[in-house]
Amino acid sequence: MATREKVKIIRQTRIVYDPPKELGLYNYSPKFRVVVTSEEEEPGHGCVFCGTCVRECTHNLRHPELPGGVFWMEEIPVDEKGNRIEEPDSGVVLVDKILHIVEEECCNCKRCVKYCPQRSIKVFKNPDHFDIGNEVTNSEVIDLNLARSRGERLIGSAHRGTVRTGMRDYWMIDAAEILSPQRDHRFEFAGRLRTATLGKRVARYPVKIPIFDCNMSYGSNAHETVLARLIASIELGRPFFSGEGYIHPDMMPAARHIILQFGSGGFGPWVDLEKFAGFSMKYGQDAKKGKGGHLPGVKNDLEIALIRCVEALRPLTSPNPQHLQYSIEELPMRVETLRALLGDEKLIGADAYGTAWNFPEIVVALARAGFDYITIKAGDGSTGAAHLTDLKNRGLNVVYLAHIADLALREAGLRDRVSLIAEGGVKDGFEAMLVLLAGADFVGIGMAQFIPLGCTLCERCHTDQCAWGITTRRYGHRIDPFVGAKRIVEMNRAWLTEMEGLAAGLGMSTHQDVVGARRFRYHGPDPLLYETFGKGEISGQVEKSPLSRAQAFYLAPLSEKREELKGFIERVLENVCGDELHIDVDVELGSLPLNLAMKEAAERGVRKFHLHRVCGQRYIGVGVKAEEIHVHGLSGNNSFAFTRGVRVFTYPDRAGKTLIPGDAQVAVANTSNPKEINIAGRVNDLFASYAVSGRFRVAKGGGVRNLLLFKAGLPEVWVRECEKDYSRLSDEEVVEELLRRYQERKAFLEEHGFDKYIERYRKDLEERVPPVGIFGLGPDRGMGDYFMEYAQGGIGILLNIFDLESPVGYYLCSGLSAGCAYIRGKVREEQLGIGVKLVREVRDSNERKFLEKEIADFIRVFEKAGMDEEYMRGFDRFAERFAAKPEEILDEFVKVVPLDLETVRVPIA
Amino acid sequence: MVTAREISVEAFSGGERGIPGGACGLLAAAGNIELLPLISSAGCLQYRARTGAGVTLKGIYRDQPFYIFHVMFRTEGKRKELEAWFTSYGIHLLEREEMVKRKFYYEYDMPRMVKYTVSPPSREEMLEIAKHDDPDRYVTERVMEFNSRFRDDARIFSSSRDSGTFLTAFELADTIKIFEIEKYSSESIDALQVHVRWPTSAGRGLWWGPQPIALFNISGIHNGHLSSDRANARALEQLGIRMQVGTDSEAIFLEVAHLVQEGYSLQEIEWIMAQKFPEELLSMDEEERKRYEELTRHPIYSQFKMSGPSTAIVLVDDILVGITDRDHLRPFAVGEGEDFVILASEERAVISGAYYMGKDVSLFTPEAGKVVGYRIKEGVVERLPLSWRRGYGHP
Ligand code: SF4
Ligand code: SF4
Ligand code: SF4
Repeated sequence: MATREKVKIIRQTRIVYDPPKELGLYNYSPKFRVVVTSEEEEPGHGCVFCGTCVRECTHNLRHPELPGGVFWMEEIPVDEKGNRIEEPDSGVVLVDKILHIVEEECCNCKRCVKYCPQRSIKVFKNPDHFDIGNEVTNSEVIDLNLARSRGERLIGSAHRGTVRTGMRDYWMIDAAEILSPQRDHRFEFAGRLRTATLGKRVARYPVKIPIFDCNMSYGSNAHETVLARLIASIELGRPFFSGEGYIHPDMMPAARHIILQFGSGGFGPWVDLEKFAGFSMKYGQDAKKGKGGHLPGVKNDLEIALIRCVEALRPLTSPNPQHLQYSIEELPMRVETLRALLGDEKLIGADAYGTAWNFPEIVVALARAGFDYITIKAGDGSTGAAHLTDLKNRGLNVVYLAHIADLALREAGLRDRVSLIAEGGVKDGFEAMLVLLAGADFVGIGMAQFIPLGCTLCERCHTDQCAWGITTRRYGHRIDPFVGAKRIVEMNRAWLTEMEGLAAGLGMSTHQDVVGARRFRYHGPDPLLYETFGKGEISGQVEKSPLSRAQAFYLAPLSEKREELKGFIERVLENVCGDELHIDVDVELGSLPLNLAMKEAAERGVRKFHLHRVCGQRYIGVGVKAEEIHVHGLSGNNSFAFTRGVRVFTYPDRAGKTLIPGDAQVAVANTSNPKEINIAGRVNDLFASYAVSGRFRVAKGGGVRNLLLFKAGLPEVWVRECEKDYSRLSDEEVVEELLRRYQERKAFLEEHGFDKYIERYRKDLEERVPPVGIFGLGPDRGMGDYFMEYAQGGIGILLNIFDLESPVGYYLCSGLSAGCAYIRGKVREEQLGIGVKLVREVRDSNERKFLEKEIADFIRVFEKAGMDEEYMRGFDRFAERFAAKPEEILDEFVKVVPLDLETVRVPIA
Repeated sequence: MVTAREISVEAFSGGERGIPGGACGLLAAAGNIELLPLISSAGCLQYRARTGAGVTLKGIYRDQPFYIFHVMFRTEGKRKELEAWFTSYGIHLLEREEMVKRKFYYEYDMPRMVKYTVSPPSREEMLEIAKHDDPDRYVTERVMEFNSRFRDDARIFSSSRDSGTFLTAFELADTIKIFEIEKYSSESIDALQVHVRWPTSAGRGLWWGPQPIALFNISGIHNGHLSSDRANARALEQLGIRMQVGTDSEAIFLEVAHLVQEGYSLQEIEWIMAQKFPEELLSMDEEERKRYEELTRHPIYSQFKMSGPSTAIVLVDDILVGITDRDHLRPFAVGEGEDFVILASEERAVISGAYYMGKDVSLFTPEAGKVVGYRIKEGVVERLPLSWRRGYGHP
């Protein structure tokens, strides 16, 4: 039978506002009314039922069972009289077309309004929602408490402050007038804010606009959003701040413009760092001050997991503290390690939050620790999702913070060594100018960079439904990154023009004239603004305390120190023999001379290092391109951090009458990608934390937080990227290369859609080899608390060769979302951390094979490492038993896995 | 007459803004030890610490009946007035001695350093003024009072009958040089504490910041940054224990000393200062748990706490106690040798200390929140069991 095509003829159209699900008290009162006009109501503006709004609106939190967002279109087959009929397969069908509107879902993002060809849609505040309550206990109080009573968690995002700051009102512009003549900025050199550098010491990034973008992570922003912002930053001549989600490999051609941010999750491969402009440490969460961050599993898609080097589709945690720096004391240690890694030429920054009462002290401490710049994060404004009570925890005003930070640094004699970026809640060129006048070198704007991409500050970034595609990856294609970049560039240039006009009006010529000039007058009620701008002339000079000799030396560039140590380094290098070098550290050699000598030796072709009588020297091997490092003695804090491809062995050593154990101090091997690191002794806290790939073997036990945030392996894509060199590309060529790569992506996306696109990364993900950490444990104590906390795919093994009653501490694997811990011996339920469970045996043959191989390797590595007799007796006993009855040993293992995961991906050859 | 240049109040005590927080390196040792090698090993912690260093030497003033005060005067003008204050309390300043050679005042900007040999008033006088006749307590109370009253003008930074504390706002090497500490190396020192400091902001509270903080026979060194919200200070206030320096560090020393002196066992001190995770209680035996809960719910002791990164080493009379916070946000290492012990904020200080003394040592790192205690008697050091308490079974 020949089939005729089905032809639909619309009999009637209707607009229907879907009724509330529930009537009465728990009737959810929509915040916004979404009204669509019909042709009868407003001729020329009537809805034509084109379905555009259905496609464009994505917001739908409460009725996820519905296909679209606020709108949905229904077609009902009817007969001529309008009675509903069964829909025929073919022929002419009469339909009634109904546009449904679910007003509860609307967040006022205005996407539909801007896309409706008929201008039929009006979205406005629902007066019935907003007029409940009274002046004090307003609709918000009632609405939020009702939401709480429904069991909702009150999460928000795109925070722009809840209290109006006085930033816009009550100003007197202290303009240069008759008595202090100024140049005309349209025709003469005046008010030019286009030459500055970020960083004031050796590393100086040339900046052509004092307005910066902010750290926002890849993942929280769609690919296209990041790309648009990145290109805009390149074109504007300013660095780009990656946020803590690392950067997409497709964006590596622009690496020299990017400053990577290390958040408390330490996400990313951390290889190839010399290609970047710098490195910034994130000391706090934007929206959730004093708290950690959390990425739900669904958002951690294959592509994100690839970039962050974690297991895909599993939740991710950025813990509250930056675990490698628990206090100010540890800042210099962090900086010296990063400096050893990156050298003088790269910027090292700190992102600090203005929520602590001793903020000036913190700023000074950061500057003294040797950071090149400090980003001051003020209270208002952030993209992050947070509980509403956190969003109200605002921190201080950005202008005031810039003011007190600038003064504190001047008093400490450090202002000429550190740049200040201040950000948070700045909304236009005028406010940006205030921030500079108050003492910041640069002003950062985050959310405002979204406005040219369509953002209407609807506060729904966290829902993954951003209709503009800005903060939702699957709708990212709604943005054309190149058009978006142009718009961002234009907006920033307009701000700059406004600022330059103000600067010229004040009689200023350059960026340096403006910074810290405090030349506006404030006569309003805001106490913080009054403190900054209201008190009349801020004294031209402050009492400055001199830098001590030791402090000045500490802050001096590495190149100077290298020069000073030249003679020593040459003497050390006299011992080079082929590609090997023995260095007698002689207990007391400084960490810096040792590191510099090793670097110099590696430059000259040394690949294998033997260090003798080592006694706690810090950051051994950091930034040293070595194949093998043999440490005889105690490895100090941060040794082997960020190393790649290296093999490390430690051994006990004797110095005079003193036996130096082959132990490792705190944070050894953090954030590394070694081939193997073997510690013939015990380790202290944070061993191999944030490590991405490699084998980590420890003969004895460890302190707390070993294998913290242990990652899931280094994907090939990063290895491939490492081999590429973009240093010769001009900025235009960089942008072209970004464009070319994006076109490829877009072509695929258009053909196959987002889900298929990210599937392309599955192979890369599966081929990764997760890192493995294996500990023998000592005779007297096992592993400390928080073992493998927040781990994300790596594998930990505790052999417990002395059969300790309790081989491990508390909060075991707390927050571990992928990977697992194998523990030989007894684990009590109450020792487990949150979100994990205990499996009392290891049955899977792959897992057993893997364990067997790891144990055999462990025995092979340590049998000749020369450890103390007591340990070796236990070791030999264990090794013999293992050789005789491996199955028996394997039977004694339990494992700890995430609550919802049984299978473990173990690396077997 | 030595001319110390006058130091501003801001620099001396921090004035209204107080003492900035700081970060530190610690080393303590006891037993058959040598001064200079240990000072060199503490020097390896100096990278952490650039402003402020101090040393306490136990035993240098032993075998004599008087209290030895080390006092720094911010301004010369106030000295007479402050001396008179003591006299008004019946305290006799028997001898006054310059602690620092004149040349150092040219080289360094520092307060005038004076050593006093002090004797307490008669019993009758004490009873009249203070309603008790315990001379140690009387003198300690006056020192606390002096220090809180005149903190902008002077600081008594050592007031023991046995040990002496030496502090400067400079580096360790400077402290050694200024007080000519080598001269004590021939004496037999029972125990020592060394502290090097890195304050978060330079230029203020320089002379109240440095540690060891010493008060009569208590002295302590601490490394960390508590997030205890001043709960410790409030608790001490309720016990009537007055803080002189006012920092969290001082609070911890005073608390540990209080607990030792009140006869709490090391185990109990550990429970109070570094409360266990609730999960740990499940594997405690019934009786222990009862005692634990009794202590940790004590209205005052429940406010004693080391939360946040923190390691403290306190010397109370002849007892040396070391402890870290329960989360172990600060490392802590101990080395036991044949006839000595070293406690330090890092493994390397322990090992190099033993190395410089030419001895072998066995290193361990106490577990998070665990107390270690030692007693030093006539140069002999002994590890104390956790059950030890003053006056009970272990005299
Ligand atoms: S976009 Fe406008 S015209 Fe098209 S269906 Fe929606 S309301 Fe009607
Ligand atoms: S304003 Fe936004 S959320 Fe509301 S209906 Fe339109 S597209 Fe949907
Ligand atoms: S980025 Fe998107 S979801 Fe977030 S506030 Fe802007 S428009 Fe709304």
